[in-house]
Amino acid sequence: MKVLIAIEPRSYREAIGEAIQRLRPHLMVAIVEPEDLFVEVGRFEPELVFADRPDTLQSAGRCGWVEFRPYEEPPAKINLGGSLRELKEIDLPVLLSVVDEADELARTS
Amino acid sequence: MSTIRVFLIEDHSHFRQSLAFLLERQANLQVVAQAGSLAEARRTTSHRWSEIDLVIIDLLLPDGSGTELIREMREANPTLRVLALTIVQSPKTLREAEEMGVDGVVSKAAPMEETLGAVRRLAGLEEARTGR
Repeated sequence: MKVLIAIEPRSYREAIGEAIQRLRPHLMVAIVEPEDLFVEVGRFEPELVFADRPDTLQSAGRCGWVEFRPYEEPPAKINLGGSLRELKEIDLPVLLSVVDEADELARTS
Repeated sequence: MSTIRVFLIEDHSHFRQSLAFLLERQANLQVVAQAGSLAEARRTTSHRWSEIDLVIIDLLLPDGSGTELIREMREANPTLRVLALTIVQSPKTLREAEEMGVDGVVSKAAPMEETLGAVRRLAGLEEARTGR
């Protein structure tokens, strides 16, 4: 599964992206500038996106989109396979569980 | 070289845990404690600041400014090295951090390599580059 990370600030996307890549080495994780999000979604074709904005692309084949804004409430709005939820607390294990859930969806869809 | 004991104080747990994970993979660094607020930091260490070598602290915490804690830490352990992380690099914030005696300030908008480099330098694991 391919995961694209395009959140702010930069240290967050790099630390979180690097941690996910090391903890889930079978995944392909790309870390990009938020301003390049839509170009990179088209180029990389990720199944899961962490971004600082809502999904306005609605691309076919994608399993999940996480609108991730750590300085706002709620910090995360998650769409996995059409199922929507908001998270008030989001730590690394929760992020990994979202990744694993999307990975499972990608395998079975 | 002895292991540098790091205390990480940052309220965004997703970032704190990811940073701790990456720091643990640096040679001679060990994250011995983490906290998400001033209160939790005081509770976690029970004011045993002498058992910490390096503190990485977010200046903007939910229950106050990290600068409040830096003064306490400095009084308890004058050799403690302090790296401040900040999302807002306002002149006022930087001046306060400097007055509190932080050893370095890194913006959260900076690349992670800059943060890790600052940690290594403050930990004495890497020579400071000339002109920086």
